[in-house]
Amino acid sequence: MTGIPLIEARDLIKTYGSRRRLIGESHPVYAVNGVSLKLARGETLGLVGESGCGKSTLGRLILGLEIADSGSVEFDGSPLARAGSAEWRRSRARMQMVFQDPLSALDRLLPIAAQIREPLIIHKFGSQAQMNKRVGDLLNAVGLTAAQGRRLPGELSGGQRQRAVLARALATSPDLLVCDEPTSALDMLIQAQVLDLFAEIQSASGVAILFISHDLRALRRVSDRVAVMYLGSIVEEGPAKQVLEAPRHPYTQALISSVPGVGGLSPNRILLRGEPPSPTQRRPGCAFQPRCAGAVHACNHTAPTLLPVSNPSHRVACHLLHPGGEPASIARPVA
Amino acid sequence: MTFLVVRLARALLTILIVVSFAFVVLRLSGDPALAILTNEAPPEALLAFRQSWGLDEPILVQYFNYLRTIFSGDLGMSMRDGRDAFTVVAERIPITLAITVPALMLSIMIGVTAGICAAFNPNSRLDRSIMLGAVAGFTVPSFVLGLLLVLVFSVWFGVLPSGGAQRWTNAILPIVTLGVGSAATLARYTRAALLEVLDRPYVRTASAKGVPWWQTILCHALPNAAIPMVTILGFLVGQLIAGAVVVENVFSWPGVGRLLVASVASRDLAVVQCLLFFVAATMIAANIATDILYSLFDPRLRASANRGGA
Amino acid sequence: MSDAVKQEEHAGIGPRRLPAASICCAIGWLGLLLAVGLFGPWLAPYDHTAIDLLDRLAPPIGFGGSLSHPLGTDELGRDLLSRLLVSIQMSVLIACGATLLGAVLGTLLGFLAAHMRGTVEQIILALVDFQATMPFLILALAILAFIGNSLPIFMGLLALHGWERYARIARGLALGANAQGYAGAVWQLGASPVRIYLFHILPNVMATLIVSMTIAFPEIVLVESGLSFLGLGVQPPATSLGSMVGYGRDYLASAPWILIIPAATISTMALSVSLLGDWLRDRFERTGLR
Repeated sequence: MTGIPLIEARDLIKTYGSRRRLIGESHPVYAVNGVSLKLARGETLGLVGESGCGKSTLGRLILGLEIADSGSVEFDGSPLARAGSAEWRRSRARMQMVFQDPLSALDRLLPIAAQIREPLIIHKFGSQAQMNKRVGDLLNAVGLTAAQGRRLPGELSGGQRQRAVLARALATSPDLLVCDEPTSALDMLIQAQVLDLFAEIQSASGVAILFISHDLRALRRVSDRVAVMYLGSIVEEGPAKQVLEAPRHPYTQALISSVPGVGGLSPNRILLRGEPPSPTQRRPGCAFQPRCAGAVHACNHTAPTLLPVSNPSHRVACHLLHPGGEPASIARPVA
Repeated sequence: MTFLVVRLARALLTILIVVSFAFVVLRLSGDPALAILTNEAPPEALLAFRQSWGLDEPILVQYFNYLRTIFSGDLGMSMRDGRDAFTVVAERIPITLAITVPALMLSIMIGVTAGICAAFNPNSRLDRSIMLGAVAGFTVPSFVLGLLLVLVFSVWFGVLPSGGAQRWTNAILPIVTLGVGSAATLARYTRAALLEVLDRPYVRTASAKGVPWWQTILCHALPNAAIPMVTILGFLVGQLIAGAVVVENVFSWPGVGRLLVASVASRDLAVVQCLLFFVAATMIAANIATDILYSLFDPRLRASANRGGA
Repeated sequence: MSDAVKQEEHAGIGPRRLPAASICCAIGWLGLLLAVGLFGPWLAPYDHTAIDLLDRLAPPIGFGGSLSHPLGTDELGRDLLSRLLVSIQMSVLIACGATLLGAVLGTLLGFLAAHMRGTVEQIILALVDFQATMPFLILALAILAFIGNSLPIFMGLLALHGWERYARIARGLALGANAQGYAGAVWQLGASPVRIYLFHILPNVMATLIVSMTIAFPEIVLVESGLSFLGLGVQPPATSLGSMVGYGRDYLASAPWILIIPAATISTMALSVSLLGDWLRDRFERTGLR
């Protein structure tokens, strides 16, 4: 964890214009709104937030699949090349993605072994024999047999497909893996197996993982650190144990209290009022203010910044926790 | 009505492409002055033509001049009879309408009826024979069908004239020939649209409630099947125009289609160009009519168009 | 507007499975026509332009004809069997060539639109709209009038028929594959565009393209024969099925076989390809290849 981080993103902003309107003004959607984050080698960062909060976009920005409106991403100390350029294509050997829906990420007409082989061909891995051996090792590493490797994606189960996608992503021994909700299309039992596989792969290969999910239990299983996103911004970030067991931001607290334990939902869980505000209508101040039970005056006009609380590695963006705000009062349950 | 504005913009774009298309092929044909005015034109006329069309100017200037000339309504002279190309075309239009409009009605009568009969007895012998007939109607060229009709009704039975336009009986064979081809398309389309609607939950609910079958069909199935069927109108008009070109030549019917083929054969380019624009205008009008009908039949489209732009 | 054509293609053709016998007949007949297309002139008993004025308008066997001219002769005493074989070769050659050219052109433009987006895509879409709006026969006649006629021009012209359908299909499927699908996944592996389109998207859209080709092929046969019938297509001394029908119409009363034989060939050829296309579509739908 020393030296330059593997990934350093600064002040990323990505908007999507509502396209093709002849009449009426267009409101850009702020998918990612001023996000900075660092990822060290071999570290797993869990990124959590509700649907539409911009976490997938952030993952694509970090991989250079999309270009940010402003801000920068540095990979291993140098900025990413433009998407689609020859240099960018070469850099793909070092950073890979695992998709939410493995069936649509795989070519239905090719046996999975051929698809696992594809990055090796693209990045000129070596001779045919070397590639054959590598494909065999990869299948083995993700728990697939050689016979399964000869099957088409449609002939495999969801979990096996996701293993194939993972094997393809790992083929060139990348330094970074961005996993976009890799388990949400799988059923519970298979989810657990695939999550264990992720942990196993990481300890064996030392790959850094950005694990995007809305499933807190999945995150708890794999993450070293956790970042919580709300409406395009990171509101809390820190060691997984601290963030998940002692959350400080009112949104994180609500999010975590909503996860059912073994005995069902906790009786004093925090219910949020209303829907998340539309990302097209930006307002000054804290994005969470309209739904926050403890909002103070400052929340209306000043956007809070990520500042350390108690432990320097645990940072929260909330006026309630920082000088200038009022003493940290935990959001009260709303009846 | 945002969507009408969008459609009109697209129609204008199509007109522009048609005119540009004419400009490009005219350019590819060699010297437009010679092409439009012919070899026999006196040299001073050629010179005047070149100057008035600005043929010595850069190609882009020429293009805009061409656009200006066309949109000011100057479509050139027919070299075969020396009159305004537009007049030559315009006097043939009613003659063509005299067979295409009845043919359209005939094809709707035959095609929709056959399609409904087929859809209500799917996979029956009736359905199979109707569909086979439809495939045949689609794959037998109209000139073959026309000539076979001539062989049967004019040569063997001698009941109908084989060509010309002297009496109303002359129109019967062209109308039938034209109508049958479109009826085949329409029958297949009607059957498919109805079969899809009949399988929808609301139709099955109606039958399950005990609504009489004719009422189910009249109130639920047909109106909903009519929505996709409206979209085929533009396609039918195109099919009729192309069909008219061939059929008019089979039956020596002196309409637009015969004029087109004669003008192409003698390279009377001003008339061909004028006919091209005429067909384009007809097709655009048919498509706009389709869109309007569609929005009348399907209120959802209107609503979404007003909300979302297109 | 152009949706009408598209929807007709998608919905208009009966979803039933056709009896296998008719498919076998269609395949057999097409195979025979293809063989004639390849070897026709060598099978012909006479030169198709050889004139025999003493043996004019001879009827075919079964209608009082002799073995020397199994299908009879025409107004100049030319052997109809030989003319038919040569005509089939011409028509099959033109239709196959034009269908393939059209498919390649349309697919390329569709992929180009999907890959470039922006202005290029809008231009291609406007051209697609234009092509779908205008009846093809009219465009073809206009081009023939302006540019003149020769066999390469004629074939290139017919290749323009239906390119917009392939373009639309190829673009739509490529966009879908790029957005979240397998093509996007391969792209982020670092694959070059050529590799993505050639090795991944093309095989995946092939089934749909083949079905479109079976729709376009009979249409091209009909347009070709129609233009040749009007005397604006294949020019003598070359002959095609359509021009044979055109010459036959003058002898409709005295020698109807001159017309009926090539007319029947055109119709059965178009019908066979249509049946084959329906059957292929059914199969592809069942195996989920679409």
